[in-house]
Amino acid sequence: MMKNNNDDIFTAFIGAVLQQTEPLPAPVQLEFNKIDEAFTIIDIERLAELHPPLLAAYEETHNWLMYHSNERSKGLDVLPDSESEKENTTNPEISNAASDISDLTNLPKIINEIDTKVKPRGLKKILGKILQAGDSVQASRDTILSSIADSFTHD
Amino acid sequence: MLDKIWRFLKQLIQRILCAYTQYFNPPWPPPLVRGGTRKKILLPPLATAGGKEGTNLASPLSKGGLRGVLPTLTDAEYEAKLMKLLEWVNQGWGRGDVAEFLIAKQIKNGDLAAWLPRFGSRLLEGAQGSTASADAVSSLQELARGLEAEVWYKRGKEQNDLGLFEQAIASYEKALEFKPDFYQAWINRGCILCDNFNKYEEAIASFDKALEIKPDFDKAWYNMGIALDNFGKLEDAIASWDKALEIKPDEHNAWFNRGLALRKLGRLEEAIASYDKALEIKLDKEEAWFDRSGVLYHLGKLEEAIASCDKALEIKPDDHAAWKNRSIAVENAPKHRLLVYEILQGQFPKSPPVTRTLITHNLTQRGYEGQILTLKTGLEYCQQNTHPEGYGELHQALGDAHYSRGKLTSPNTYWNKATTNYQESLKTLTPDTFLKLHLQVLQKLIKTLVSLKQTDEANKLRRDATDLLQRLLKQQNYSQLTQQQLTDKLVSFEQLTVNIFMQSGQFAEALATAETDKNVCLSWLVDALPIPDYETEETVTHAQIQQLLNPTTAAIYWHLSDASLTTFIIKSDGLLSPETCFSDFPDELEKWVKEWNQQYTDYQSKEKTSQVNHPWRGGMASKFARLNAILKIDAIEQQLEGITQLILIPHRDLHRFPIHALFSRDFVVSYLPSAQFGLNLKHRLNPPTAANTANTPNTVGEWNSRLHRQNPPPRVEEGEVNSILSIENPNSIIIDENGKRKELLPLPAAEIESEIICRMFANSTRRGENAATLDEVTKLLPQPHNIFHFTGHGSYDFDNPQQSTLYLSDTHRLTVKEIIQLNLSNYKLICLSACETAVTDKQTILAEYVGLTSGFMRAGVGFVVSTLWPVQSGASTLLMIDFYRRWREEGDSLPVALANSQKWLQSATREDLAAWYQREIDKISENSSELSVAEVSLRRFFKSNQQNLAKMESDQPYQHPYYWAAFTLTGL
Repeated sequence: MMKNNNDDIFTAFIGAVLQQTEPLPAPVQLEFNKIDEAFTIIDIERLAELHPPLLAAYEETHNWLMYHSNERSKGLDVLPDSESEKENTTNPEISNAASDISDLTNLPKIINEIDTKVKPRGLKKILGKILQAGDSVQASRDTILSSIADSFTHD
Repeated sequence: MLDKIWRFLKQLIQRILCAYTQYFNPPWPPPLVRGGTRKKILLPPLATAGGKEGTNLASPLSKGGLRGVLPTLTDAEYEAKLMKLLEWVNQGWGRGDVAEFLIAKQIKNGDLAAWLPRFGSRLLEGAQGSTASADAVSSLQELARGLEAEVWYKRGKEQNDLGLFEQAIASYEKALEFKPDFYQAWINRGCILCDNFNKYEEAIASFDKALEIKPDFDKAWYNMGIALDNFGKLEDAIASWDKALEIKPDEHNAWFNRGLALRKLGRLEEAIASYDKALEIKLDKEEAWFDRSGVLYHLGKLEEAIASCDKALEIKPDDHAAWKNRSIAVENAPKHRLLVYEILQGQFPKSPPVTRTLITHNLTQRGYEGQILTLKTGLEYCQQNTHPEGYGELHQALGDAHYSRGKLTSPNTYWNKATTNYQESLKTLTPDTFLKLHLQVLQKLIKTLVSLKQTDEANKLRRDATDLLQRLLKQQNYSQLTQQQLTDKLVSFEQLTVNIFMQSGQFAEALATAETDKNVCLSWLVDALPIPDYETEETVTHAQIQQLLNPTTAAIYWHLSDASLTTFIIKSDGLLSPETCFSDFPDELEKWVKEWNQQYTDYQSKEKTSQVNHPWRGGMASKFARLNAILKIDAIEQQLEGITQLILIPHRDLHRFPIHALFSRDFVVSYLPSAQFGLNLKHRLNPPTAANTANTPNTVGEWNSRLHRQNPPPRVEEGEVNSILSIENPNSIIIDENGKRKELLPLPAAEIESEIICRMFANSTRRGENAATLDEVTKLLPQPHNIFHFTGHGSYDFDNPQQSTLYLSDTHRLTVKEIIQLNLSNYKLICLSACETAVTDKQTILAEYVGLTSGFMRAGVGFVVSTLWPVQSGASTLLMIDFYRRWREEGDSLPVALANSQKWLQSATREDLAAWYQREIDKISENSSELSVAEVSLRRFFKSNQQNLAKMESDQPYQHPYYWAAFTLTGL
C-alpha cells in the first residue's frame, strides 16, 4: 500500500549513493554487500545511517522528493510520457547531453535520470545490484550510464 | 481491327482521361464558404460536357430520362460510332467535342458506359491469347469504369442538391468504387459528412484521401480546414488554410475563416490581420468587416469597431446583427473620432467611404443615446413586414438598452420602455418561426415585468411559456430547439416564479418554490430523467425546513434565476421578512463567476510550476472579498445573532465556491444540496413519531422506502463507527483524445493519509494499486462499513452529471450513475479528498449542480467531505489527518472537526506544524519498538516534511485560502 513512498525511499537512496564523491568506507560497503534480494526500506534506512555523508545526501534527496511531490494535486494530472515514448521524436544526441551527471549537486537532474532511466527497469532490482557491487558508488554511476546505453540499443 | 481499336483506345485514354482530369476538376470544388455564423456549402459544379451545363445525362441505372426518348442503338451501331469517335479523338478532340458528338449521335454517356463493358467482353472472347487485345479490353474497361464513376458522381451532386444527403454519400462512394482516385468524390463526400451529418472525423479522413491523391489541391486543404475547425482543432484548421493559401494566396474565404479561428483562439491581433487580407482581396466582403468589428471591440478599440461595422452596413444596410454590434460599441465608446474613419479609408483606399451612417443618418452620438439612435436607424432598414427577424432582434436590443439604463436611473421610465420594445419584438419573433428568440425575449419581458412589480402579467406570461415548453417537450417537437435547449428554457422560466413571489412579498411561497425548483432539477439530473417533472414534486414548506434548525443553527438558502439572486435566512423560530429574504440583480455574480471560470480554466492548463503564482490562485483572497460583497455576507451576518452553526444551501454555480470561507465569524458550517435532502436524513436518523409526522413531506417517506426496498446493509448501531473502507491511490488510467492510455500521477502523500487514517479504526478494508476495480469496490461498498475514504483522482462531468466519476484501478470508474444505485445509508462519512468541480470557461450551471457529493447523498450517506478544487497534496494530507484525529480522538462532531482543522491549517506556524509532525512521528513508535515497513515509510515521510518546513517562505505556510478553503462538508 505504500508503493510510491517506498519507491521514493529507493530513489533517494540511489541518488544519495550517486552523489558520494568518495567510495564508501570498507565497513559500510561490507554492510551493503550483506544485503540480500529480499531487502526492504527498513534495511535502506539502516544502511543510510551507517555513513553520515550518505545519510545527509539521502535525507536531502528525500526531502527534495517530498517537497516537489507535495506540489502535486489530486486533479487529473497524468504522468509525462516515458523516455522510450519520447525517443520517437527526440534526437539521441539530445538525450545523451541530458544524461550528463557530472554535476552531482544538481538534484533535479539526478532525480530525473533515476526516474527516466532506472525506474522503468525496476528501482529495487537495480538498487539490489548497486548494493551487491564491490564499489557501490561506482556501480550507481555505471548503472545510470549503462541504462542510457541500453536505452539506445533496446528502444 | 483489334490493333486499330487498341491504338485508338490508347490514344483515347491518354487524351480523354487527361482531358477528363482537367474537365472533371471542378474549377472550384466544394468551397465551404463561411461567414461568421452564416455558413453555407457550395458543392462543385456538375461535371458537364464542354460547359453545356444542364445537359441531362442520365445514370446507367436510370429507366427514364433520355432513354425513353432516344432510340436504342444496336451493338453494330455503337461499334461504328465508337470507331468514329475514337478517330476524332485521336485527331485531337477535346472533352467538349466528345460530348457534342455524343449528343449529335444521340448517344448517352450512360448508355455508352453500359455498352462498353459488353463490348469489351465480346472483344475478349474473340481475342483470347492476344496480349494486345487483352490490354485493349482492359483499357476499354478502365474507360468504362471512369465513365461509370462520372455518372455516379453526377448523381451524387443531383441528390445533394435535392437534400438527399445519405443517398448522395452512397453515390459518391459508388463512384469511388469505380474510381478510387476520384478525389473530387472524396471531397464532396467529406463536405456532406462535415456539414450535413457533423461527422467531422470521417470528413477529415475523406479530405485526407483527396489530398493523398492530389496534395496540391487548394480546395481540399480549404475544406479540410473547415472540418478541423468544426472538430475543434483550431490550430490544425489554421495550418490547413495556410496550406490552401500557399497554393492560392488570393482565396479570401480562407483568410476570412482563418481570422475566425484565430479569434476563437484569442489571437485577436492576428485575426484582424487575417480579416484585412480577406478584405484586400474582396473589399465588399461584408462578413469580414462585420467580424473584424467584433474583434476590434474585444481589443477595446471601440471607434475602430464602429468604423468597421459602418463599412459592413455600407455594403449590407439591412444586416441587423451589424446594427446591434454597432449599438453595443457605441454605448461604450466615449467620443466619435473622424480620424479613425480616415485611417481606415487610407488602409483600404479602394473601398467606398462610409456615408450611410455618418452622412445620411449622422450617427456620431455615443453612449446610451447613441445606442438608441443606432438601433432605431437599423429599424428603418429592417422593417416588420420585410425583415421579421431583424425587426424583432433590434426591438429586443432596444429593450435590453432601456432595461440596463433603468438599473442606473429612473427604473420605471426605462423599464416601461423596455417592456414596450420587448412586446414589439414578440410581434415578429413568434414561437412558430423563431422559437429560440421568442423564448429569449419572453424571458426578458417577464424579468422586466417582475422588476416593475407587474407580477400578474409576469406570471401569466411565465405560465404561457412553460405551457408552451411542456407541450413541445411532450410532443417531442424538436424542430427548432433540441430537447436539452427546451428543458433548459423550461427550468429558466420556472426559476422566475421565485422572483414573482418575492416581488409580491410572498416570501414563504418564494422559498417553497425555490426548494421545489431545486428538487425537481436534482431528480432530473441525478436520475437522468428526460424532462424535469414540476407537476408531481411535493412542496417543502418553510415550517418543514425549520425542523432542521435549532436556536443556534440557521440555514442560508440561495436561489439564482435569470432575473435575480435571492437569499433566504431561515431561523428556527423566525418568520420570513424583508430583512431575511432579499433579492438583487444577478449580473455581478454572473460576471464574477465568468471571471473565475476563465481564470480557473487557464490555471488548469498551466504547468504545476507556474500554477503557484497564477492569478486564479494568487488573487483568490480578493476574489472572495468581492464574492462576500456580492452575496451580502455582512448583511446576512447581522441576522445571525446567537447562531453558531450554519447550514448552507447554495444554488447552481454557487455550489462550486467556498461560501463558508466568506464569513467573518467562526461558524460551524455544513452544506446541503437541498432542504429536502436534510429532511430525508433527519427523518431517517430520527424516524418520524406521531408528533412530527404531520409535517413530514410525503416524498421523504417515499424516499426512505426506496432505500429500504433495496437490500439494506447489515445495520451498525448508532455510535458504533469502527469500520473503514479505504480506496487508496489506485493506479488509474485515462484514455486521451488520441485513444492513448495515460497513467494518472501517483500521490505518495495520499498513501500516507490513508495509512494513518486507517490506523484510527478497528477494522479497515483497503484496496489500492490494481485491486480497486469497479467490481471490487461495488462489492465492498454495500458491506457493513461506516466510512468510505477515497484518495485518488476524481472529476466532474458538466455535460452529463451522472458520469461524474472517481477514478479506480486501470480504466475502471465509479460514477454517480453507479453510486445512486447503492444503498449507502450505513455510511456516516464519505471522504473524497479527490474531487474537483471543474468547468470550462464557457459553462454555467443553468439548472442545478449535481456531482459526486449529491450522488453519495442520494445514496443515503450521512456526510460527505469533498474538495472544490485540487489542493496541493501536502496540505490536503495534513488537513485530512488532522480532521480525522479531531473527530476520532478528540470527540468533535464532523462539522466541528472540519471547521477546526481548516482554522488550524490556516493559522498554523512552521513551529506548530513541526510539532504536529513530531507528534505523528512519536505516535508511530509509541506502540512498538520494532517498526514495520509501513511505519518506517510513515516516519520518513513525516521527517522529510518536518525538515522541509524550513524551506517554506511564509511562517504560516498554509494561510492562503487555496490550501484550506476548498474542503466542504455536506450532510446533517
